[in-house]
This record gives sequence, structure tokens and C-alpha cells, in this order.
Amino acid sequence: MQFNSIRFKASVLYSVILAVILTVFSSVIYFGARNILYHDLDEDLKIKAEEIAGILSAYEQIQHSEGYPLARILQMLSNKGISKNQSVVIDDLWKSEIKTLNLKNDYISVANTQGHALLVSNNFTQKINSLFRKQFPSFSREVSYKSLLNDKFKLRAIALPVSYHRSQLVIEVGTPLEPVLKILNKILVFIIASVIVVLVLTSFIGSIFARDALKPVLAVANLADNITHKDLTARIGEQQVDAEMKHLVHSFNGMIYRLEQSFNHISEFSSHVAHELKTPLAIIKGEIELVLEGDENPEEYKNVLEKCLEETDRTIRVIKDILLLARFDYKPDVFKFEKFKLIQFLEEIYEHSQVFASSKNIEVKLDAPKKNIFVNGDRVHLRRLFLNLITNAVKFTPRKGEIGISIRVKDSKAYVDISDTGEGVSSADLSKIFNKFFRVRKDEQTAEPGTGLGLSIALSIAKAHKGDIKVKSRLHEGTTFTVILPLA
Amino acid sequence: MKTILIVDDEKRIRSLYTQLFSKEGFRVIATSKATDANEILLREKVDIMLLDINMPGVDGSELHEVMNLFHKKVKVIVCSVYPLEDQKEIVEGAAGYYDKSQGLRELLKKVKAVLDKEPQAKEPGGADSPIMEG
Ligand SMILES: Nc1ncnc2c1ncn2[C@@H]1O[C@H](COP(=O)(O)OP(=O)(O)OP(=O)(O)O)[C@@H](O)[C@H]1O
Ligand SMILES: [Mg+2]
Repeated sequence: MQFNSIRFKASVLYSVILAVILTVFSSVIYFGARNILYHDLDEDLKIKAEEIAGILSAYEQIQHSEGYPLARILQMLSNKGISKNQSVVIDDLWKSEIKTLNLKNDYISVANTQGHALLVSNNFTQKINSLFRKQFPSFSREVSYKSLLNDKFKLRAIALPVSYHRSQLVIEVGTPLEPVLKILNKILVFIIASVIVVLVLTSFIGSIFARDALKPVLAVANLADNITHKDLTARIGEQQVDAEMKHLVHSFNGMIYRLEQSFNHISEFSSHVAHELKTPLAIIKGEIELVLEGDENPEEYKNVLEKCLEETDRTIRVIKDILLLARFDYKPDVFKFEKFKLIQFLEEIYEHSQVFASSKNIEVKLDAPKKNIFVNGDRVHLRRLFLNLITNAVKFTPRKGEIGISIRVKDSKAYVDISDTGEGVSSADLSKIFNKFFRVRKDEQTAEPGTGLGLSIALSIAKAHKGDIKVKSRLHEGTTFTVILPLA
Repeated sequence: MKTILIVDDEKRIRSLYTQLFSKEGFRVIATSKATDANEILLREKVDIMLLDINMPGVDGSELHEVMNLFHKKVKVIVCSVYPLEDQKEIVEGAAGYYDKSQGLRELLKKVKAVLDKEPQAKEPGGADSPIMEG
């Protein structure tokens, strides 16, 4: 796995997010447990302190029955200078309390309001005393709980004020924190260990997930590697991939589809071109072979050479037309647009077409409104467009026919109709006449047989002007081509 | 005298081949459409046919039907400007294939070869098996 891979970044991101969540979650658990344990401990301490207060009141009863003031008892207790049976009673009481309250490990002191310890347990040393004083510096009427910590002792302590015989006392009990800390430590270790395990697992699983999620990307890359112009049929399955990937895969498949289309188009076109160029060459070759075989007279040779010249011209015309079409398709800047008057422009074309229509005794008529219509276009190429249509009309109209050129304006578009009274096109062929190299009949009697590119060129020019060419035809009646050009 | 039927939509090709085969002593019939050829075959006794296949937009199955129709009566040489391999792919089982740019000498050779093989083809069981050319 590389460090700059999406897979690596994804799994790191997973892990970081999870680490944050787990940290928050385990802190809650840890401090929750700590609170509960401390609270339990504090409850215990309170019970103990209250029990001690109970013992003190038991002393008070002794005092009442025997007439000892508390100070005295306390003094006796501290000096162990009380009478034997009394001390035995107190001792027993104390010991049994210590046992039942489990006070053996606890530090107990009973102090007055000045913080002077009146009664302490045996383990209540000077050091412990100063520890207590640090945390409970002054007398308070409230019960308070504190943690007493230094490098040697870790205690939880309570200070419980009690009123005793008209004076105030504070019962302080400290109990070791170790058991609680031990449990908390164990919880902490457990949490850290499981967080580490979970993080390792998720980064591992995350990287597997990431790899799975990125599989379609690899599939796209692999497919792209294998795509050449020889085989563009390959596609990536769109069914099993995720929604986001579907988009990528879909776009990718769409791109290959478009490439496939244009490759098919090009290969079909070049096959057409090969056909159109090979036919004249085959004829030239055949004619030459034929004339070389025999012992022809000079007239015959001349005839063959004329045919060859014709075919050569035809070949040159096909190549010229193909180059023109290629330029229209791939170099839109061959068009030099300028604003000009359409009617005036069509009048020139009309005059020109009268000349070559007259050879077939065909009459050309112009029907144009007397107003200024401006068009933004390339005059040279638009001239080619209209002449192609008019040449067709002349070519496919018998002698003494009629050709009409008329202009209409509708919805800020100019509609130029070129109609003839010629042979027409059947509806089956009508859809194909704009196809490259398509000719309804290939044995026209005209001097120059067409290449079948004239209408393709005309349509390309119209499209380059954001216009169009429509056609209507009736067999044996005539054909009307309508050139649509947007007005300037 | 052998009769040859030329089916080609290019008039110039038709006239060239007509010239060639007339000189070689064939009776030549030429037509521009495969569908017309069917009619001619019903009327005339034809020995061999040159069939142009115009590949772009050609309906292969339609052509095949026509081929099958002709097959029993007449030897067919498929004839176009496309490479021989492409022609064989589009029309299977013709007696021969000819690329127009191969020249007239080659065409004559192929026609003669197909006609020479005719007697063998008339042997029992052999009538339906086409003679393939390389
Ligand atoms: N006015 C028309 N009347 C009847 N048929 C037409 C007319 N215009 C075009 N066609 C048919 O459409 C075919 C294609 O026309 P197109 O102009 O593209 O080719 P062409 O005129 O045969 O050759 P080129 O114009 O390249 O010399 C023509 O061969 C013809 O069959
Ligand atoms: Mg034309």
C-alpha cells in the first residue's frame, strides 16, 4: 500500500475518527467508574464516621453513668489511664467496632474545632496528621470528602462535624485508596488495550473496504489500458458498482461509446473513399490493358486516353471534395463570416445559373421580396452550397424543365427554396441522398458523373452557419430543397 | 458460345467489361441491378455471372438470397473494389472472387478457370459444392 494512495488515506481517516470516538467513549466509562467507586467509598466513610460518632455517644453514656466528662474519657483513652474494667469495656467496644466497621487499615482522628487531635488511632502518625491538616485546614459545619495524596499515602478521607456535649468535634476517617485505584488501573489498562486492538482491526478492515470500494477504479484503469482502436467494444459492468462509481463508470463507458462511434464512422468513410478512388483507377487500368492487347487504330487510342483523362479528373474531384468535407468537419475556422445582403447575393447566383441551365434549355426563375435581408455567413462557401443544389437541379431535370429560386423570411430565419421539375427522388432514397457518395443512379448520362458528395458538402456548410437543408420530392414530378439560414 | 452476365451499377465498368468479353468471343448481357439479373436469368441461358457487391450499406442477407437463387443455374464471380478477404466474408460460397483493381487479364483468367471446372461440378454430389478460389 502506498502512502499517497486513497486506500491509505481512507484507512488512516477511518482510524483517526474511530480513535477520537473511542477516546471520548472510554473517558466517559473511566470517569464514570471512578465516580461510582469514589462515591461508594465516601458512603462507606460516612457510615464509619457516623459509627464512630455512635461510639462516642456510648462513651458519653458511660460518662453519664460514671460522671466522667468527655475530656476526661478522652484523656484516659489517650493515656490509657482509666480504670481497668472501664478500659476493658471501652476497648472491647472499640475493638469490636473496628472489626465490624473494618477500620483496621483506616486512620481515625477526633479533633476539636481548632484542629487539635483529641483522639487518634494508633496508626495516626504525625505525617498523617499534617496530611489531614493540609486538606482539612479549618473547621467546617459541612461534611466534606477529600483525597489525601502524597508520595507515600493515597487516602480518601471524610471530615464529619458532630456536636458533642455542648462542643463541636470533627471526626476524620481516612481509608486507603489503593483498592479503588487498583480497579481503576485495571479498567484503564483494559480500555487502552481494547482501543488499540479495535484501531488495528479497523485500519485493517478499513483498508480492505477501501480496496473494495476502489475496485471499480482499478477496473476502469485496466479496461482503459486494454482499449485500442482495434477493439472499442469493451465496457465496464455498471450493475454491481456503487452509486458514485456508477457515475464514473457510466461516463467512461459513454466516452468509449462515442469513440467507437467515430471510429466506426471513420473506418466506414475510408472504406467508401477507397471504393470511390479504386473504381476510376480500375477503369483506367482496364482501358489501358484492353487497348494494349489489341492492335487498335489511333482513333481508338485517343478514345481510351480521353476516358482515362475523365477518370483522372473524377479521382481528383473526389479527393478535393473529401478534403473539403474534412476541413469543414475538423477546422471550423475555414469559414470567414461577414454580414451581407442575401437577395443581392442570390441574384448573382441566379444570373450565373441561367448560363449553365440554358445549355439544357431549362428556365430559371427568381422570386425574391424587394427588401433587405441580412445574413451572417461565408459568401464563398454559401455560393458553393447554392451552386451544388442548382447543379443538381439542372443535372436531374430533363430538357425544357424549370428551376425556381424563392426566398421567404419567417421567425428571423431565411428560407431559400430551390425547386425543379425533374425526375424526383423516391421516398426510400430521399433519406439517403445526404449520405456521402450516395447517388440514386450511377449511370447518369451527363458528361461528368457525380461523386455523390455534393449534398454532403452543402449540408456541412449549412450546419456551419447554424442552418439546415430540408428536402421534399415526388418521383417524376420534381424536388424542392429548402436552405434555412438564420438572419444576422 | 458462352454467355456472361455482368451486374454492376457503374456504367463505365459495364462498358469496359462488355468490350473485353465481346472481344474474347462471349455473348455479353449487362445490367445495373441484381434484381434485374434475376429476370434475365429466367429468360436467357447464362453460363457465368459477374456480380458487383457495393459493400457500404449492402444487405448481406438479401445478396445471399440472390446468390442462392443463381447458384444452381449459374457460376457467380463476386466482383468489387474491396479486398478479396472482405468479399469472401460478405458473400460466402461464390465460384470466385475478383478485385476490380487486379486488372482485366486476371479477370479473364478467373472466368476461364471457373468455366473450365464446370464439367466436374456437374458430377453427382458435386453440383452444390462451390469451387473456392484463393
Ligand atoms: N434535384 C434533384 N433531383 C433528383 N435527384 C437529386 C436531386 N439532387 C440530388 N439528387 C439525388 O441525390 C444524389 C446525391 O446528390 P449529390 O449532389 O450529393 O451527388 P451528385 O450530384 O450525384 O454528385 P456531385 O454533386 O458530387 O457531383 C444524386 O446522385 C441524385 O440521385
Ligand atoms: Mg450534386
